[in-house]
Amino acid sequence: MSADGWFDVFAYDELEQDVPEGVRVDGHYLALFRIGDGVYATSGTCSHAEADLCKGYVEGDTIECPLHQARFHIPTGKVLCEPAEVGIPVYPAEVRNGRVFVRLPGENGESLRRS
Amino acid sequence: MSHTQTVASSHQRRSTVAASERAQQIVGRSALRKLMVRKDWPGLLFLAAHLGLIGLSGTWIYFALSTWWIVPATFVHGIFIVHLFAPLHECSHSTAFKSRWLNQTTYWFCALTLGLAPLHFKLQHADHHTYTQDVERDPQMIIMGERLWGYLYYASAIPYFRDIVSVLVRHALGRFSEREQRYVYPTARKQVQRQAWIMLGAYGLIAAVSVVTQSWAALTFWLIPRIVSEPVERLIRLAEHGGCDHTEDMLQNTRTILTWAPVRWLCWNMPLHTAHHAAPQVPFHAMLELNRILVSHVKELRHGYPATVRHQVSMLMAKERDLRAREACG
Repeated sequence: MSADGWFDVFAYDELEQDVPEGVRVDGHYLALFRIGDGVYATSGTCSHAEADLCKGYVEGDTIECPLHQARFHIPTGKVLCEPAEVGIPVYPAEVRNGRVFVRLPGENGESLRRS
Repeated sequence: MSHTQTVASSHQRRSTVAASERAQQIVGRSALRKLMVRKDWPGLLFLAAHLGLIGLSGTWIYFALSTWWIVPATFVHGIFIVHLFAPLHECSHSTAFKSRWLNQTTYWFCALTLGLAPLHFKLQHADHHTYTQDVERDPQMIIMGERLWGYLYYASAIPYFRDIVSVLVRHALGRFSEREQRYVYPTARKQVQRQAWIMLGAYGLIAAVSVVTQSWAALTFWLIPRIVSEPVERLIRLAEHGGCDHTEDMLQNTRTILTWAPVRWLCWNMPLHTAHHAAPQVPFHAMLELNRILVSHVKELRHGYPATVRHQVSMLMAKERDLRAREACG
């Protein structure tokens, strides 16, 4: 972890379009997405029944839960489709020198966004 | 509110979710990715053929009117209509088509034909996948099918039709049973209510047009065949989980039935039901391949629906004998 709360989590080249990757960082299970040239990080578990979103179906900038087909907007975590009621947390993510970095909420909870 | 609290307040994670993930590990990540690919053409092909058969059998009814051929024609036509449950179910998983508008349009068409409101069915079916074979929590578990007379009564489709009518009316009035309140969460209830009104409105319109035009078409080509043949669909539904273990492992709590290709086709590959429960994100057109990978792990495997029904009935008869013997022993 860097001093500013960013974690080096994955190789950017290995992150494929439409194929989410699951990573465990500091006790959090995250899903990493590559959409176009951008990278995004969300919680890796569905807010409905905690299924693994990394096994879900990516369509454009949305991820659909593999078990119950709830759908979320990846950049904002907003829920788009039932049966989920609430969105999923999203985390700031960026590419530095070919690596994906994610910033996790600090002790005061900054940088955790939820729809 | 923390993420953990949010999840706990909506649905407790059940180990069926973990069991599904274990089953998906058997398949392997890259194979699962390939199987998950959605397409439009298989669904269009299946739907066109399905609707074509409905059109053909409807034509048979038309030419059989006033003859005894009306009886088999109505039964056959009804078989094709009640099997619209298969695309309805596939659409509820959003896997019938790649295009969402095709999925939604087909979903509504099947829902209106069968009297099952789309959102309510989807929410109910989601909990069925989470709590499969859990007597307390699975909202689509056919509990009465666990006893012989209940099985036969359910197969008559009488309780099913009673349920369809009462659910639509109650939801239109904004009333949800205690069981329904578990899966129709508060913010979804207005939409479920609105859909119930849309469906009742559509049926009212059909009834009004039928009366005004003095037409028997809706009864002859839709409702009567549906009522006559629904028991066949009920037996198929009973075969999917009835008598299976009350465990969280879907390789044990769900039955796979290996049947003739035309039957499997009419059911949109859902006789391969264990594979579907193991990975509901896999579309029907990839179910044969998924089943091929998983079939050696499936506990409840049967050959054909008649053999499955015989197996279920004989199992229930044995259960009744056992219960009577226990009662006799005090």
